[in-house]
Formats: sequence, C-alpha cells, structure tokens
Amino acid sequence: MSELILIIAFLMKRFILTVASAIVATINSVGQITTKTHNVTYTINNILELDFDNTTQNLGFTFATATDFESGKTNVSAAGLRVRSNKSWTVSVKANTANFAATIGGDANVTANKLSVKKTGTATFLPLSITDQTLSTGAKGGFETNTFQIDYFANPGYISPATYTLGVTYTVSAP
Amino acid sequence: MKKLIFLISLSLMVSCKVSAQSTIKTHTVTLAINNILELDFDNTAQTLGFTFATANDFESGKTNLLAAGLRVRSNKPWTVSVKANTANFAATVGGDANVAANTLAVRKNGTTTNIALTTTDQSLATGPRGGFSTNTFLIDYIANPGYISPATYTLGVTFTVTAP
Repeated sequence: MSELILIIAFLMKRFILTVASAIVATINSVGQITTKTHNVTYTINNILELDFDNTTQNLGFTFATATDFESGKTNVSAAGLRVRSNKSWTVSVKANTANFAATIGGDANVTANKLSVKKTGTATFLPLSITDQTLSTGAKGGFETNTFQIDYFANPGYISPATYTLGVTYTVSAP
Repeated sequence: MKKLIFLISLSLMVSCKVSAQSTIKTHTVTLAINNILELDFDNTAQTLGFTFATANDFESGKTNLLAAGLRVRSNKPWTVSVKANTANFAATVGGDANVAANTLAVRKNGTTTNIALTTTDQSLATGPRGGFSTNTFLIDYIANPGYISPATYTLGVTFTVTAP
C-alpha cells in the first residue's frame, strides 16, 4: 500500500515538473520580439502626357495631276502620337484657324475642313474644325502601350495655285 | 636534549596534522542559457513613402535607399524574413484595387537581389549570433507600380526573425 502511495507521489511530482517547465518555455518565447511591421505608402499623382512619337512625319501634300484635284490625296501614317497617363484618356484634334493660310496669289477661304484626319486602322475621317473632336481613346499606361498613328486626307478641290498651311493641334485629356 | 626531542616530535605531529587537512574544495557553477532572439527597428529614420509625380517615376519606378534599419540579437545564427501582410495594396477612394504587393521590392542595403514582396516569407538577411552592435543592417525599397490610378496606396510589411 505504501509503495503505491510512493509511486503516485512520484508520478504527480513528475507531472508538476513537466507543467512547470512548459510554462517556463511559454514565457521564454512570449517574452521575445521576433516580428516587426511597418507600412509602405505610394502617393500617386496625376500623370498625363502627349507626344509625337519617332515616326517620320509626312505632312506635305502636292496636288499636281487631275486625279489629285478630283479625288483628293491621302497620307497614310502621316504622324504618330503617344500618350502616357494613369487614367483613361482621350486625344482630341482641332484646327488652329478656320482657314488655311495661303501664300501670295492663294485663296483666303480654303477652310480647315478640307483636311480630314483619322486614327490609322479606323474607317472614319474627321473633317477638321476649330472645335476639338475626339480622335482616339485609350487605357492608362505608358508610351509602349499607348501609341497610335494618324492618316490625313486632303481634298481642297480646284483651289488657286499657292502654298497653303494649317496648324493642327492635338490635346490629351483624362476626365 | 629531552626538551629538543620533544619539540621536534611536536612539530612533526603538527606538520602531519596539516597534511591531513583538506585544502581543496570544488563546486559546480551552472549557467542555464535560454534562447534569446529579438528583432527590432533600429533608430534609422524610416523613409516609407513614395511619391510618383513625373513621367520618369512612372516609367522607371522609384527607390528609397536606406529606407529603414533592422537589428537582431540572438544566441543562435538567425534569419530575417520579409513578407507583405496582404496580397494587394489598400487604396484610398478612386484607387485601383489590384495593385499587387510585388510592385514593391526590398533588399538588404549593399546587396543587389531585389525581393519582390508576396504574402509568403522570403529570406532577407542572415547572420551569426551576437547583439545589436554586430547584427544591424539597413534595407532599400524599390517601388515600380506602373501607371496606376491617382490615389494613396498602403501595404503592411512584416519582418520575422527565426533561429532554427
């Protein structure tokens, strides 16, 4: 009987020791700081930029043959434009003046809408006016994804011999 | 003569007695060495904000060198790992929901391997046992989110030290 009591007492002592050492171990690991956290922030401002790309611009039209005067002339891929933006964007186009400027002997009333423009690969030419018209839209991104080319179509009819010049302005906006 | 013999025998007895005394005692000193493992930011002023304003920022990304300092004290060789708390940055109103944690990379200053962050721990630095004085290092952050929408984006980054 007394032997049994001794065995029980021994087992209890062992159990208490085990529990105590487990508690000590827990305290040890809780007391140590092993992780640290901090917050990194990006402050993103607006970025919106329009540029001509490196395409060689082809902005001159020479009207020489009857067909040129009858049907007009097209300059395909006359220039390239590129946008970088962190919002969806729209490029608009307008003529700087209502009429072409002519050299001496030319007509004063060759209107801007004798020149049309479209994004290369699309179907519809936009006759120019002094009001902005939407030429192209796109998603946010850099130049590598937001580059396009334009085609010009000129059909002034039988205007007087001279050299005619018109400024054309492209504007990017991101509402 | 008798007195002399007596004195000599007495002194012999004393010396015998001296040699019979115990003159060395030993006991055992025990050092119970527990694990010590601690990670902390050091006193380096942290540079955790990135402002993207110019086209070049958006094209090339930005780097914050010496963005923060970390220090470890450990009595085992240790590894500091790094992870993002979430898969994406949290954005303010109008921001994109899908700016991934991996647009931010971190490296130990002086090394060249950028670690793009994920929600899984990746090893950032290792070192031998020692105190803060020998186990301090700085980190660089490299951010390249691309043309994300205007807003403020925040990501929690957690550093964990382990000593296997």
